[in-house]
This record gives sequence, C-alpha cells and structure tokens, in this order.
Amino acid sequence: MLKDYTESNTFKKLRDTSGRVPLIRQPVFLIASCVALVLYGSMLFWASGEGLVIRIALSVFVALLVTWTGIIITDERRGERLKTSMVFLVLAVLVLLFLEFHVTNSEEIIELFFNITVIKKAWPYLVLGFKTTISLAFMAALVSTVIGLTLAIFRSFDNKVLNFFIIAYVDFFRAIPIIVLLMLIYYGLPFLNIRLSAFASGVLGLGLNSGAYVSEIFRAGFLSVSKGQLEASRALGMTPWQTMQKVALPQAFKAVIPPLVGNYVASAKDTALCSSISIIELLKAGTAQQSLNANPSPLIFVTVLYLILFVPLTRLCGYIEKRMKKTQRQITV
Amino acid sequence: MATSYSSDALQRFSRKHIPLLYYIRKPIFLLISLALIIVYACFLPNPQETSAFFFYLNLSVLIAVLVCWCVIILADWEKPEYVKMLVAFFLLSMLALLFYRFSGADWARLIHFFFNFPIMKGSWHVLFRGLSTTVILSICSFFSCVFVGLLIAIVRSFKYHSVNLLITMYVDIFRSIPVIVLMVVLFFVFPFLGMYLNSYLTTFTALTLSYGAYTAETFRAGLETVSSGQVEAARSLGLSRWQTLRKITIPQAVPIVIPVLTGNMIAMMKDTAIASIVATPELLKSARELYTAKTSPTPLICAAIIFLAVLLPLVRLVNHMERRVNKSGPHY
Amino acid sequence: MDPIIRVESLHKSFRDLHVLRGVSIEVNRSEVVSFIGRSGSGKSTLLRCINRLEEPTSGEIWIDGVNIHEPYIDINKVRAEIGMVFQSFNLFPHMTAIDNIMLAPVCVRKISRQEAKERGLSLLEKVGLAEKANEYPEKLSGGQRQRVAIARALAMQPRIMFFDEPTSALDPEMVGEVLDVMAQMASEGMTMLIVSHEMGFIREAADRVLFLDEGKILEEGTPDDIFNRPQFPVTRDFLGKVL
Ligand SMILES: Nc1ncnc2c1ncn2[C@@H]1O[C@H](COP(=O)(O)OP(=O)(O)OP(=O)(O)O)[C@@H](O)[C@H]1O
Ligand SMILES: [Mg+2]
Repeated sequence: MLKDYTESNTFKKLRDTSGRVPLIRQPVFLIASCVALVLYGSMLFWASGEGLVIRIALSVFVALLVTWTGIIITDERRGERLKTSMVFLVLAVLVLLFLEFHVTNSEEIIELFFNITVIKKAWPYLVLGFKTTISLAFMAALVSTVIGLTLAIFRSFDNKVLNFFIIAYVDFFRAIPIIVLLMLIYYGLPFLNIRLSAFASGVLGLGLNSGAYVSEIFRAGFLSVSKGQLEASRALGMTPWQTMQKVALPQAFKAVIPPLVGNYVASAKDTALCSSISIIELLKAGTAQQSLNANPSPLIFVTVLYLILFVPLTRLCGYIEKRMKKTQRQITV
Repeated sequence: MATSYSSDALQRFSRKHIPLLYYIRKPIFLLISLALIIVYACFLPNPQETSAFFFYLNLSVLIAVLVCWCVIILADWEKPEYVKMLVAFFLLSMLALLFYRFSGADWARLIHFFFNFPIMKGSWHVLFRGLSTTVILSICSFFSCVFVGLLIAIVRSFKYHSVNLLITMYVDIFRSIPVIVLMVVLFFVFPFLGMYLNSYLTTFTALTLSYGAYTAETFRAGLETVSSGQVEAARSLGLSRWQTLRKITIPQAVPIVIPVLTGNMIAMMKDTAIASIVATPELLKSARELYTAKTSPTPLICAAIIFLAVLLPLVRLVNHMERRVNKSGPHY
Repeated sequence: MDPIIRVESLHKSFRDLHVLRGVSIEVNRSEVVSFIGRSGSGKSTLLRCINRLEEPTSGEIWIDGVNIHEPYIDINKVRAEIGMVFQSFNLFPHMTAIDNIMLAPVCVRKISRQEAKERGLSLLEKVGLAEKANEYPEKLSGGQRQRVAIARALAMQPRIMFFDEPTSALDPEMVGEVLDVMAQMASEGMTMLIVSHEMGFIREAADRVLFLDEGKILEEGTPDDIFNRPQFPVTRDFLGKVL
C-alpha cells in the first residue's frame, strides 16, 4: 500500500468502503470501452469525407480516446510498459486521423516533405550554411567570453563609476532583441561609414548580446565563493595565486560551467537570427533552397538538422547542471 | 622604534625578493607610467599613414597597457576611493576617445542619419501601432505558454512515466529548435499541408510551443526546489497529492518561479521581434518598412528606443526580484 | 624575554566608522590572552589586523620582533605561523576533511602529501575525528566542522593560534568538545589569542583577560581580577549580562 500515491483520496475512500475496484478501473469496463473505441474509430476511417457531422464525430472520438488513455495511465496497478505502449499507440492513431482528415493530398506527402532528389540538389548549399552556423556560433562564443570575463573582472573591483557603466551595458543588451541589434549593426552602421561584413555584424551582434549574460554568469561565479573561505585560506598563509587555484577556482568553476554551457548553446541557437541580415547560414540556406525548388524538403531537413544538433546539446546542459548540483557541496555556515 | 629583531624570525618571515608589484604600486611609478601611456596615445600612428596591421597592433597594445594600468590601481585596496574613481573615469574616457578617434566613423553624419527629427516625427505613430501589435501578441502568447507550462509541470510532477516520456520529448524538441526556425516552418511549410496560418497565428503558435517548453522547465525547477522530504512529511500527515501541491509545494515554488517567469516574459517579448520575418506588422517590421521607404536608419533607432523603453524596466524588475530571492535565502 | 606579539597604538577605520582607536598590547610566549567586550567593540577586527586580513589604518604590529608591515616581509610566511579559527568554520566545501587539512601544509609548507596526510590523520585523531577523515564538510556536525577547522590550523604547526568566537555558532552540547581541544592546546604551551564569550572557559584557561570597549582596551588583568574586581562600570555592566 506504500506506493498508493497516485490515487486521489476520493478513490481510496471509495475502494476502502466498498471493498471493490471502482467501475472505471475494472478490466471488464476497460476492455469493453476499448472495443467500442476501436469500432468507432474504424467506422470513422471508412466514413471519411467532409461535413460537419464527421467533424463532430471526430472530435468526440478524440475526446473519448484521450479520456480512456487517461484512465489507463492514472491506474497505479497497470505496468509501465503497457502504459507507454498505450500512449504511443494512441499517438499513432491521432497522427493517422490527422493525416486522414486534415491533409488534402496525403499521398504526395513523401514527395513533398521528404523529397530526396531536392535535398540532394540542395545538399552542398546546406553544408555550406551549416559550416557558417558553426563558425558563427564559435566566434560569438569567443567574443562573448572575452567581453563577459573583462566586464566581470572590472565589476569585481566594486567601483561605482565602472559598475554604473557595466550594469548599463548588461541591462541594455538584456533588454534589446537580438534581431533589432543585428539590424542596427548591419543596416545602421554603414550610414556612419563603419562597414562591417554581414558575418562580422552577426558575430558582433551575437557576441555583444551574449557577453552581457556571460558577464553576469562570471560575476555569480566569483560571488559563489564565500568571503570567509578566501579569508581562511589567506589566514593559512596561502598566496593569492594558491588561493585562486585551490579554493576559489574549483568552486567558481562549478558555479560557472553549467550556465556558461547553457549560454553558449542558446547563443548558438540565436545564430539562426542572422538569416535576417543575409548571412547564408543553415536557416537561410534552407529557405533559399525551398523557394528555389518550390519544395519544403530542404527546410524540413534543416529543422531536423537543428534538432540533431541541439537536442543533444540541450540534454548535455541539463546533464551538466544536474551533475554539478550533485557534486556541489554547499555549506552555508 | 628600537626593535630587537630576533634574527631567526627575520629570516623566517622575510621574502626571498620583494615582489615587483610592491614597486609597481608606488605612486611615483604609476604617475610616470601614466604619463608614458598618454604620450603613447598622443603619438599613435595615423591609420591612413601606416599599414592597417601596424596600426591595429599599436592600438591593441595601447589598450592592453591602459587596462593593465587601471587594473593595477583598481585592484589595490590601499589606494583611496577617490583615486579609483578618477582612474575609472580616466579609463572610460580614454576608451571613448579612442573609439571616437579611430573607429573610422563619420560622426558628422550621426545626427543626420540616426536622430533625424523630421523622420522621427513622421514615424512615431506607425511605430506605436507596431508596438501595440507586439504587446498584444506577447501578452497572449505569454498567458498561453504559462498555461501550457503549468499544465505540463503539474502532470509531470505526478510521475506517470509514459506521459513524462512524451513531455520530455516535447520539451526537448521545442527547446532545441530556434524560434525563428519554428516560425519559418509554420509559415512556409504548413501551407503545403493544407493548413494556412496567418502571420499572427504563426507567431502565437510558435511562441507558445517554444516558450511553453521553457516555462514547463521553469515550473518544474520551481516544484523541485521543495525537498522530497517535505512532500513526504506532508503526505505522512495525510494530505493528498493535490493538497500537498496546493499547500506545501506551490506556495514555496512561486517566489522562486516568479522572477524566472518574468525573465521568460522578457525573452518572449524580445522574440516577438522575430515575427517580422513572417510579415507580422509588429514594431520591427514597421521600422524596417519605414527604413526602406525613407532610406534612413532613424526608424530602426526609434524602434530600438521603444523596445528599450518597454523592456528595460522589466529587466530592472527582474534584477530586483532576483536579488530579493537571493537575499531571503533558501526556503526551508 | 621579548613578547611574541606587540601591537602599538593600532587604529582601524572602515570608511567613517572608527573601530579601533589606539590599541596597544603585548603578548608573551605561551601566554593565553582572552578578549572580551560587547558586540561591535572591535575584537574580531583586532585579530584580523594582527595577521593582516585587514590593513590597519595606522599603528604598528610586531610578530616575533619583526614589523609585519615592512615590504621585505612575506605576510604569507607570517600567517603560516599563526593559526586562525573562525566563528563560521570556513571549511572548503569542495574538499574532504583530510583534504582541507592537507591543503595548506602541501601548498605553503611544501611538505610531501604523504607526510601531510600522516600529520593530518594524527591531528584528526587528536581532535577525536579520526573516522571522519574522508567526509565532506556538509556531512559533519557544527562541532565536528569546527574541530576540523582547528586541525586545519594546527596542521601548519603554528606558534600562535587565534580563535575568533570559535564556539558561538555551535549548539551548546557541542561547545564542550571544541573547548576541550583548545584547553589541551593551552596546556601544551601554545600562544593563544581568544575572542570568546565562554566565561567559564576563560576563567580556567586564560592567563590574562582584556576588556575592549569602543575600540580601546579599557581594562586588563588576570581573569580573577577582571571577573571578581572589575574597575569600570562598563565592565561590570557587561559581565553582569554575560555571567
Ligand atoms: N569589512 C567591514 N566593513 C565595514 N565595517 C566593518 C567591517 N568589518 C567590521 N566592521 C564594523 O566594525 C565594527 C567592529 O566589528 P568587529 O567584528 O570587530 O566586532 P566584534 O567585537 O568582533 O563583535 P562581535 O562580538 O559581534 O563579533 C562593527 O561595528 C562592524 O560593523
Ligand atoms: Mg566578531
């Protein structure tokens, strides 16, 4: 009975007083409703067409399906594997329904969205775009690290004048949308006779923006080492350099790395914004090829590429964060 | 003071050699080096006369030396405060001066192109119409993504593995796709599926999907700050799952979540600017149209100013809230 | 014999707050000196000035006959001879107890890790924590943390020990274990400067008590003198409150 968390109290009471499983949890009911649902569903597939009646029938079916899945899932006594396969089955049914009723020309779907020949044709451009994206991301990370570290170091001097300007910088770039910044740099600066290439504008915009965040991250890292510990190590006769190396940095490192990696990943995602200032990076390559071939496959492919690139990176961030949290040994006193 | 140095103590305590920093920090040395730096700055080669490489080499050496000089003073606690203030001012003004002198910008054109008042006057009302679109869009998307995020976080906290698998997939996918890609796909690809979303709906959907994922993570982190021990304690007192959530978890999670949520709101408002890509007539789009119509970057500047006017207060607010949360310490 | 610590008209101010207003002390070898006084009277500041965790505004400090403000003095070498124990332990949270203890001997004294480890273990044994060597500070109780902190200071084989309210962050039942360690050190002939509100302990262990008030040494004498025959009403008042 220890694992009985998932049932709400009312159900528990029901069961305790009647000594029975409630109706909707009984296998007979579940199987019966399942059969009914299957029948209903197959009828729907046969009767595919237009019209309000079909629409309503469809919505009712979806609602029933979701409720039924909900009942299964919230039942504590069913196995996890059953539930998981159930969820995916229902998902598959929903996708099928969607294709059946919402897509006008479903037979052409492969031709349209996963057209190998188009992708093959677009491939060299996409690779070029991918390379540009990667180099943009790296350059932006480099610039932002330099800016952020410098600002954080100057911030640590606790000088009012400098702090005012640094805070102004940080707030300014936290408040202004990157895309506006990019446009200002790319379209505005030439009027002042400052001519930057599109790539340089992109790096500058992303770097300036992400530098603001990086400086905050480093500052938090510096602050994460308590003053008492620095004093303790000085009192032990360690030189500032030794204190830095053995006491401050290992701890600051742990505080800094997870958000820093997260920030780099975010800034790498922001490279997609550079498509708006005519840098041929991955997204721009995708859209250009889409309009060239009048076929969305390149864009789909680009989306998949973004997923392949960033899902692992996002996961990595989460993993690092979790790990660091686990090893971070915080004592407040 | 007549001191009887015990010679062995002297030996034990004395340095092998006095560190360079001791001499460097003497005022006389600092003054001389300051004079040298200024002389160097005055005689910096002109970019027109020397090779670009040589010029930039000189410039970066100058900046590096300047920064080092300032750091030496700023990092020294024994220097009085007003000296540090002066040094800070000096550093900033030197940097500004160098930028003014050597950035190659044509400053005479600054006012004419960037703050052209006649053009400004003509563009405000267009821009404000754009702003209202931006604000309405972001508020709508914000509420819907909070709804989505809260729903997901609560469902996830019940720990149904199968559902959590789906949720994790959703969150991972939409946190990984840049918003702009999402918008482009929704706007340019979905019509091939026979689904036509107009530009407003595209923006709304993209922002909701993407920020729904972020918000879900925010709420989850908020719910997770409440230790499992507390949840167990509440459960052992006989509170139900819902009661625990309502009475124990949420009240503690809210103060942690609010600043992050406001941060999300800011990020989202910034991302509405991306909607200009899919032809939503919001602030940036209006500014760009004016920019092309009048061939002047002034409207872009105005748009930036409007964005700042709206978002800077929010940023300050988030700063303030974060500081307060940090000050009140961990919640237990 | 010349004093091991001599402080000459020490002044210290933070911005416009004048905390120490001309303190002069002499401490002899193997003497246990205790500072008492109201909160904010500058006791911690005094100790911190003596090993230059704070820079004094004016005044001079000699340790073992050497003026520690001379440029040819390596303050780290001076500090290595002065162990300091803080009110808030200040253990390094990312290191185990034994690593905390070994750090400074290895880095500053440059002894081998092996030797440092042996020394550390024997010290942990001395403070009664031999079995906790590989625990991280977060897993230790307050009293245990403070004893590790003392062991960390002792591992440098200091000739002087400073204690800044070592027991005031501890629960009452843990105070005893820390005081025992301190009493043992006193009996071994360590020079100790103690800021503490444990009057019973001071009466037992201290050779001399100094009463600080508003940044000055108001009164000074044996524990017996100060506790039983205080000269000034302020002292009497303070003692009345804490005893
Ligand atoms: N770093 C600092 N900056 C500014 N003021 C300080 C600083 N350190 C201490 N002070 C001030 O100096 C005064 C004396 O502080 P100190 O810590 O020496 O007192 P104390 O006698 O140790 O008190 P307690 O018994 O509470 O520890 C206090 O008023 C304190 O506010
Ligand atoms: Mg104190």
